[in-house]
Amino acid sequence: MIKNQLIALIRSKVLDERPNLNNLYQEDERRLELDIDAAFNTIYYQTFKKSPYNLDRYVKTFTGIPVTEDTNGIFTSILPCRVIQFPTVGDGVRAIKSGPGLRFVPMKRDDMEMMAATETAIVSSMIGYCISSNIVTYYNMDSAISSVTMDVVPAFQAWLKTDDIPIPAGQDEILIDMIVRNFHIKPTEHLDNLNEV
Amino acid sequence: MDTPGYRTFGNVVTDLMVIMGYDKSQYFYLTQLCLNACREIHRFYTGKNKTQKIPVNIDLNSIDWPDDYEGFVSLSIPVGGRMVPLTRQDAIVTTTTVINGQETLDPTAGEGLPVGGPRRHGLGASGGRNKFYYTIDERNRRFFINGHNPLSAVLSYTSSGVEDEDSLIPNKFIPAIQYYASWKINERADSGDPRALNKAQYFETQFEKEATKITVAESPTLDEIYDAIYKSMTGTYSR
Repeated sequence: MIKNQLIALIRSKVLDERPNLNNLYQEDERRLELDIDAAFNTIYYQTFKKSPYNLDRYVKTFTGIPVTEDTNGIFTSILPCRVIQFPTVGDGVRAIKSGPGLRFVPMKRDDMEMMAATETAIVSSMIGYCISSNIVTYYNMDSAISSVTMDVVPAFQAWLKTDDIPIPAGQDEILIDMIVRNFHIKPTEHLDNLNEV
Repeated sequence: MDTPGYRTFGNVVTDLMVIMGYDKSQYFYLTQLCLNACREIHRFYTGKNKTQKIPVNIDLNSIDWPDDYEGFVSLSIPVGGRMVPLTRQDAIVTTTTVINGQETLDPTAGEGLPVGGPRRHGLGASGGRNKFYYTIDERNRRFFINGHNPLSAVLSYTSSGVEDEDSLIPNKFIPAIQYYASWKINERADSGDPRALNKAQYFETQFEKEATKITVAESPTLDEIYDAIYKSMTGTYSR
């Protein structure tokens, strides 16, 4: 579903359910996007729990992401957008690609520090990467590589308005219900202690 | 053409990941396990040794081990077109004398003197006497040779058999490698599976079976056995 259409659909659902809500509050896209963002995280996480490979359908590909080398010879890239976190090695970055013959695999940060002392470092030309905050750090990176292509599972807010956002099969209604439910929460009551005179 | 009889080491690892359904994040770990499996097979289940011509250090009569040396098979010198293996003689003095930071041999300390072999004349003469000997200096990763001072010798040794991702692995090794990896994965403390050790035991047995198949496949053919029998027969009387 196109992102704009999804937002419009949810807005209309919310208005149907709560016609008396403050219009400004209801129609503020940023508020709606935040709610949808949270719901997306939940839906995608449930999809991940069923099988991590399910996530490959929900990636967005970013090309030409620069790779930089610091003074210690460590190669890094900045994530192209905010990604959904998953409790797995590689997080929301599902794949990194570059020229032919180069292959990337996710690895744990601890392993990255230990790897140079293993025999694997002698025989393997595979490039490892790990994610911390919004930085991708590479292990065994080829210094000739100046940019990479990344397949990431972006947060809802990171999609463009015109992007066709894939919603996990059978989760459409659940997603909309989760968001609409947020608007059903009653406003906080007035909690002044009237006995305190 | 049929599928090739060899796979590259890198492909053996990816085959394992695909067949067993491992995540990409396991790649480096599985690479190490496959490497260990190749080493195990090369050391104990196959006769595919590595043979290399190694220069002799003529000042010390020694031969340094190659970096990938893991186990000894034979040390020979070429005589004519044949390889003549040296005989092990651990009586050879393996010490050296350091002069001005340089290792040398001091004959007064018995270093580098010919050791000879058992007597071959008179009473108490024995067979099996050779001219050329060697001994192993394990700690300094070298051999000392004695009785001959060639410029180079031919060393047969076992190694892991894996130099890089493009090293070729025979297809007949692959089932054993895969079972070895499964065996070791289930031995991990963090496997989280209460039946992991049972599985490890199962996979260890399977590995043994597959590795033994490699040994059996390399055993002599019937023709080779007949040849060996016929070679021992001569026109002279048999008693």
